[in-house]
Parts: sequence; C-alpha cells; structure tokens
Amino acid sequence: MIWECKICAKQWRHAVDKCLFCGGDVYTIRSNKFTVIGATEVFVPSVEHEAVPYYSLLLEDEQGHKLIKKTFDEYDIGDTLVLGSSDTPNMIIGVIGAGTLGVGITHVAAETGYSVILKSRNVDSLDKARKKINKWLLKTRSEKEAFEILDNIDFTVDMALLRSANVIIEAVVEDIEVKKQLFRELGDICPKDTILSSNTSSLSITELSSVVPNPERVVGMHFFNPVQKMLLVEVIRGDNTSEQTIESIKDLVTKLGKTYVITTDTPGFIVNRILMPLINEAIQILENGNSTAKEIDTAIKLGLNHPMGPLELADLIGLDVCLSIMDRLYSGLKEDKYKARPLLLKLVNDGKLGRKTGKGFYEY
Amino acid sequence: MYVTGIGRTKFGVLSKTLSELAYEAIYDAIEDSPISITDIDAVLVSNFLGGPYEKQLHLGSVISGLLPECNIPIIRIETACASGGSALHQGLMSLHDYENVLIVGVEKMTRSTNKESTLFLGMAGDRMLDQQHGLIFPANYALIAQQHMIKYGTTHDDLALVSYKNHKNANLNPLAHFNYKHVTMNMINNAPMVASPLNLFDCSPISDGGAAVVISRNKRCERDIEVIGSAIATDYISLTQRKDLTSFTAAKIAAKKAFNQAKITPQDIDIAEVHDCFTIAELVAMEDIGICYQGESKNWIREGRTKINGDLPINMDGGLKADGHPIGASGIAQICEIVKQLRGEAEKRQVDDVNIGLTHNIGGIGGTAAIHILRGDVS
Repeated sequence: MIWECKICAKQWRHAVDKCLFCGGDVYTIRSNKFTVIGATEVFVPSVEHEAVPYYSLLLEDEQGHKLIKKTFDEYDIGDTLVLGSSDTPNMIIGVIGAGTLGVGITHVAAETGYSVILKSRNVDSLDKARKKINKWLLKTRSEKEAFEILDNIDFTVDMALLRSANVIIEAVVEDIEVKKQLFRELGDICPKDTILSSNTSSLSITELSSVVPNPERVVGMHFFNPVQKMLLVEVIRGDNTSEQTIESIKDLVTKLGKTYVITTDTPGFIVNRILMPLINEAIQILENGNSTAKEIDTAIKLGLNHPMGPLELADLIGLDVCLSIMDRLYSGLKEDKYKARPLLLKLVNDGKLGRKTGKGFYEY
Repeated sequence: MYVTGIGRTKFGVLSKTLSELAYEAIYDAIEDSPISITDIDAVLVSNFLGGPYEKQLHLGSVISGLLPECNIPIIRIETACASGGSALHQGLMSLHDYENVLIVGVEKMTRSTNKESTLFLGMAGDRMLDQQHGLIFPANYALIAQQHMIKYGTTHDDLALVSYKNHKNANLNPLAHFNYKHVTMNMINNAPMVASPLNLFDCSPISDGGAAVVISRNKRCERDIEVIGSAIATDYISLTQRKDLTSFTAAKIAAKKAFNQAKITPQDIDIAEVHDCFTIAELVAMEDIGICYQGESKNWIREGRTKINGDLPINMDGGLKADGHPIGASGIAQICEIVKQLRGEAEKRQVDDVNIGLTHNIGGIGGTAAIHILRGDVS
C-alpha cells in the first residue's frame, strides 16, 4: 500500500494524511498485479524465517511500485504474480480487538483467503494472536501454507491502517461508550463506503450508527465462540442499515463458511434473547432447591440434546457477562421474566464469575 | 580539521567484552595522538546493535565509565553499518565548538547464534517492507547483484575477484579477522550459497572489534592527517521505495558533496576504503564514488586495477570482507587504514606515493552513506 500526494506525487509507505511538502491531499494506491523483477533464493535460516530455502521476490507493478514478497515457490524474472486469492480479489477485512473473538474472526477470514488487518491497542496481544493463529493453522496445514495465510494478516496498533479495509468488524469490550468512541474514530478515518460492523451480543446497532457519517453502512455481525467451530453469524439490521450493506454482509458470511440469520435491532437479538432467560430459569430452579446444578445441566443436555447445560454454559460465558446482558434485556423489554435472579447477582457481587475466576455455579 | 590519533583492536571472534574492546581502541588512539585524554572535549560512540546483542544501551554512559571523572559529553550515533562514518562526520561538525573529540566505534557480535545475528542485522531494513518478507541482508545485496548482472553483464566471477583480492590484502594485515586464512579461487567458487547469487565468500563475517580516532581542530604534529571532505546523505530504507537498484543515491550525493568540499575530483584520489559488506557493494561503491563509470567496475576488477599494486588500490586492510565487520567499528577502522597509509605506516601493505585517500561507509542497503576524504602532506 502506498500513500501518494495528489498534487506533487511524493510517496510514503506509512499512513499519511496531508503532504508535508505542498499540503496536498494524499490518496492510497493498492496494486495486486505484479511482475517479478528480481528473486533471490535464501539458504540461511534466521529467527523469524527458520524454514529454508525460501525465495524473496522483488515485485513491480505497472506504475513501478515495488514490494518484496516471501514465497516457497520458484519464479523466473518476468513472471507475473497476482496477490490475494482469486475469488476474493482486493477485499480487505479489518478486525479491531485481539480478544478471543477478534482473533478467531481474523483466523477464519485469513484462512478463507481475505487480507486481514488485525488492530489492537497493544503489541503483546498482537504477538499472542499471531502465535495462536499460527498454532491453529499448523494443525491442518503445512508450514508453507500456514506461512502464506499468516502473511496475509497485518498485525498493527495503528488505527490509520484500517482505512484500507472494505469491511471492519469491531470486537472490543462490550461497552456502549467504548464502542461509540471507536465508531466515531472509524467514521473519521474510513472512506464513506467502508462497512462498519460490530460483533456485539446485545448492544444497539442503531445507537452505534448514530455517531458516524453514512449510518446506512453500519450493521451487526454477531459471531459465536469458538469462531472456527460455531457456524452461526447473527446479522443485525439497525434502523439505518441499508439493504446493500445487508447483502454485502450476507455474501461475506457465506464466503466465510458460516450461516447467517437476519434479525432486527432488538435487545439480545435471537440467541441471547432465548439463552439468557433459559439460564435465568435454571438459576431459579437452583435457588428454589428443586435440583442441583449438575442435575439441571444433565436434564437439559440429555432431555433437549444441548451440548452444554445452561449453568455450565453460564460459567463459561462469565456470570458478569450474563448479568449485563440480562440487565439490557430487562431495561429494553421491560418484562419481569428478563429480571436477573438474585443468586446471579449474589455470585457476581461475590466475585464468583465462573470459569475465569475458578468459581461460579461449579468450582474449577 | 585533523585526525591526530588512531587505534584499533584485532577484528574477529574475540574473548573481550564490548567495554574492553572500546577501552583498548581508545587507549591505542590516545597513545598514538599528541592529545591526552584530559584534553578530549567530547566523545561520540558508534554502535549499531548493542541493544539486541549485548542487552546494553546508553553506551555514552558506559564509555564514561571507561574515562573516570571526565564527565564530558558522550553521545551514541547509530545509522546501522554507517554508524562509524556518521559519528566521525558529527564529530568533525562539532569541532566548531570543541578543540578535540574522540570517536570510538565498537561492536560485540559473536556471542549470539547465526539465526539471531541474521535477525538483528536485518533491523537495518524496514520491519514491514523487508524483514517480514525474509529479506535478510545477504538477500538485499543479492537483489542488487542480480540487477547489476542483468544491467551491466557483471558476473559472479567478478565478485569472486573482489573477495580474492580482499582476502589477499587481509593476509598483510595482522589485525584482520582472516589474517591467517589462505583463500583460493577454488574455495570461493565452491562455497555454499547464502542468498543466490551470493555465496559465503561474497559476505563479510560477523566479528567483534573496536576502533577509535582522535580528531582536532588544529594540526599538532607531522603525523596528523587533514580531513578535507566529510559528508553524509540518506535515502529510503527499503529497496522497494527506490527507483535505481544498481547504485545508491545517498552514496552518490555524499561523494559529490565531499569532493566539492575537498575541491578535488574522483580521479585525484590515490587509495580508497569502501564498504564491501558484500562483494557486489565494492563494485557499486566504485561507481557511486565516481572512480569509474556505471557498469564499468567489472572491468577494473578484471584488470586488477584495485589491487595494492594497481592504479587505485581499494580496501588495503582486507575490507569488511576479510578485515572483518564489527559494525560500529568498521567506519572508524576505514579511517585508521587511510591514516596509516597517508602517514606511510602501513608496513607490508603500504601503497607507494599516496597523498589523498577516501572512505566510503554505507548503512543498510544504502539508506545512509558517509564519505570522508583525507590528505597527507601537501606535496
């Protein structure tokens, strides 16, 4: 990617807003068709490039822009090379947040063949994300394939890099104010047609869209954990979301190998609207002393064929997360059945948040 | 402005630490100079990779500990492999205010594995554009060599001649990393490939070493050597940002500036120490400095014109290739060699009738270039 001044044609390889020399606006140039103008076969291993031999190719596009590309395949000078997989040309996905879901989405998107930019606030989490994705990839792929997929991910702390993305999927902490601030920034830095999506589990897409110019490109994309295994993506249509945005996201979800369901922007959408009251009901049975946690979970697993019982699932999700979703359901829908049970409140207040703290409905 | 003292350690795989190497070089330079250590107004330290290799930064203060109670300004200069030339240039500029300045270059490299070294040295290239795509330093220069071959018909045999010459010269330099090594054309041609088309004998070694010079505003004694040109220039860090892949713009600009200052032309120089971190770099250097035309360096090396007994001897000390390449020390060691030659103190490798010598020091793949021109007695 190259940033070039519209007036004096000076170029940069880092995000630049205005030209330092003439004050001109800067636009980005991205090529995907290159000619091999140089190639060296490297025989010495180094810390970040252990597998040898490999090739470092010097590539040039028609305008003379150059880049270096590592590959394990031999090319001759004069060969042409189209970068990026053929069925997803030019599509770049930006993911914000290197938590469990952000990293999972990055992995799935990169493995599908998309170029991905994973943005996080800190370098350590990016480092961990890279290692995690590499480990997952190596379970099913050769070192060479894993390398090529990983090579299509830009790990960055630089928000400005996201301006080159076509679709952005935000997976930061579930806090409306944090997300709104992020959407404001995205509204400032991204072109007007970049689709901005949120991986929220229950926050309002309409409210998020209110802080960006062109709110019709804001949409919800609710992935489930672990992203690699769970086949559902809830696509949430906010009040302002355009049909074109919905169509683009349906297409993306399908290409990622997932199934979409479309839902309107109501608290909890579909899955959490049903799951959370289920958990809440299970808690009430426990409170009343009718059955033990183990009995409740066994009943649901064997009686309804759920892979996990509601209480062990609640421990996995985190009881604080369950409580905050319940609170949002209750404040949005105003029905008593969505009111969090006292035992849930008590456990959260006691700091027993489930698996992550070692104690919840079960001890770990 | 004059070089009034020079000193250097042996280059190679050494048992001394970074501080010990720096101290030895400083000691020799002060010993060689009419200036005493207490007359030094400031020190510049040239070092590239003290952080990654030795987990030691803040080298100004480390050097201060070698000069107890001097408490003078000491600053580290880092421009990758051009750190030495850059530090000397900064030192010369500072002689406007200071009377005497000590420049010490030092690098400790041999305690790490080759895999680590290759990563560390790669830090001279762009992290995103080069390093992530496996463009280790030999690969960078391999691409330059390939372009030079395509454009000018330079061959690997020409590169082998550079390696052979520099190894022969190192046999005459007791402080050189490969002083002991008897290298044949057969060894060079059968060496393992590093990054095609460059093989092991196209690459400078990983060495420990230190070198120091004392520079002064005024001439103190007959052995002092005048600096008549000093310039540095910079360029994009990555080849991917360059238009010209067979020469280094920064080196051309710095050379032109230095020649203008010295009021001489490339044809006036008698000897040169150029930055042959890889054999191809010596050929590119000859063209960038203006010793010969673009693409003509291959003829010079074929005709033996840069041998010690040739028209314009290059890398009499063995060059980075065979003298060794303790990075921070290399640019300073080049100055030491030119000073020795101009003083007539180069012993077995002394070139006859030398008056003007040039040093050419490159950082990375031409991202920084430093050129110095020195003159002995005006004859």
